[in-house]
Amino acid sequence: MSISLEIKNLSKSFGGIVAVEDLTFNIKSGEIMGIIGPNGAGKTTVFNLITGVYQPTRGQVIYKGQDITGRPPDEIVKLGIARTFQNIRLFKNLSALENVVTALDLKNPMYNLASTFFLNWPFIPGKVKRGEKELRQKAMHYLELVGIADYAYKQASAMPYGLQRKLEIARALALEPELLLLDEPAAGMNPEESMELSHLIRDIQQKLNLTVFLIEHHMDLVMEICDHLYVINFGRELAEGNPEEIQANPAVLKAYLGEGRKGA
Amino acid sequence: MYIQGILILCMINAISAVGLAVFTGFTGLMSLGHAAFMAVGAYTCAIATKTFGIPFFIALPMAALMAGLVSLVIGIPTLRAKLRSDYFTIATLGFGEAMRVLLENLPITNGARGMAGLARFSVLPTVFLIFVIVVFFTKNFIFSRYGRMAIAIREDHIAAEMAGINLFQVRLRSLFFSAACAGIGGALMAHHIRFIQPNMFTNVQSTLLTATVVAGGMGSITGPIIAAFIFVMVPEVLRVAEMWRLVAYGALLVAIMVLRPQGIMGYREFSINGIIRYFRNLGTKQDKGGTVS
Repeated sequence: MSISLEIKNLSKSFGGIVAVEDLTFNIKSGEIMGIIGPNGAGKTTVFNLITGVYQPTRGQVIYKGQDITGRPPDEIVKLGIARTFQNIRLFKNLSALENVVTALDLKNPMYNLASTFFLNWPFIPGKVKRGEKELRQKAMHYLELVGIADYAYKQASAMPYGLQRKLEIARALALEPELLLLDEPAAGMNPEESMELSHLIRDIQQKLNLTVFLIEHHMDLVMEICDHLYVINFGRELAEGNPEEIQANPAVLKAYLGEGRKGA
Repeated sequence: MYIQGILILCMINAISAVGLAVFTGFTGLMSLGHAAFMAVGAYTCAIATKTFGIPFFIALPMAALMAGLVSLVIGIPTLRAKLRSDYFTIATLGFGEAMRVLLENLPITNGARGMAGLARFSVLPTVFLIFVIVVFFTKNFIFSRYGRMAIAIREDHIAAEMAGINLFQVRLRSLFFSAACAGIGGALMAHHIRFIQPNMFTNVQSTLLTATVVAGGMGSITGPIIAAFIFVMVPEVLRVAEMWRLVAYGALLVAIMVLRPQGIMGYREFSINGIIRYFRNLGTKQDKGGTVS
């Protein structure tokens, strides 16, 4: 298996506070990799560094052999990395369908600026109207893929919380990525819902041949779907391995449960 | 004749307001310097027709283009630096003042004395035709993928960026479009009043334009058009109230913002279907769910 994403000695500090220090790991194409760690360990910072929201202080991010360190987010998306957000960031006043259509524009430009201005007449079908219709059908397909097609015309902010998370995934998928970053996709879900979500992620990953990198606190979900795990604590690497190895790792148990409990 | 004059003024203001709506309402950045673009349009058109004898229908696109190009001067540095909303607004405020001072001191603009004796090109049919064309272009621009990108930025600029949208490019494009509209508005104004002078294009004019867009509804095209008509007509209707009319005018603005903070149209568009749906839903009280595009 080839390597999708390489993180080399990645560090980020904000003023005097070190958020992430000297992280090095690889994500192989086609696998589901999880990053876990206690709250404030720097997981979301890692996502922000990969997607260009933050500039790293030191280190490199290499995607498919290409150095993408410090590139702006919109360029990184074009290369094939899409993400969702921990605190949902939908286009709130738009419908679910329009949220997805907005993302589809990136890889499916149906018309140019000149035809926007001059070739869109009322009552006359043209390039622009055809393009828009095609995009809407395509967007519907993504909504069906995550199972929220019934909500297509509902305003995004009026959707139930769990479905908003799914809509974020649909929007990210519409960017036609090869690497999908999911920031706590199951946050706020009950165990049943998070199990359902883990099946959905597996399904999508296989159907679309994706590489997935996710942050998650629901350990049942993580252990269920991740092929590989990377554990960080206080911004530093703590452990790396498959789920069984991580579950048996004393350093990880210590970070999560505290030292005093070990013998009890 | 009097009614015609008011209608012309309504449409001229609506043209500038529609342009600004694309920028402020759909991209989410406030500008307090759009009178400067009106001034650039007005002077470009006036100089072209009067000094160089260029036909009006060639001078008008020139005015739009010139205003657009000038918008790049302020747009490129501020938008590239991704100035946050309030900082950007202050920058446009300064820009508006600078432009006025510049016009007062250039030899070609005849300085503070202004330019008089311009031809009357802005007659009702002409203005109406241009108004329709501008609204048509604006509608096409907004209800397209380009408009969608702008709306996405207004809704959540981080998510928009992560959807592959280049913030700088999209914002600059809407600024250019809005400046071009303001330029057309200014040019029509010049050939309606037939006299221009730098202090016609002060920050008061800019503020009024922004107020029109906000009162009409951020995220609507028809809203600012309606607001532009109201804001021109109300002071005229209130002429009977003499000195109180400007107070009433201010009160109207306050009332709109208190009673309808989202503006007259909010995120919606005025349409016949919308009205029918509104009355149909009055009985059933169900969620209309209508949004932009």
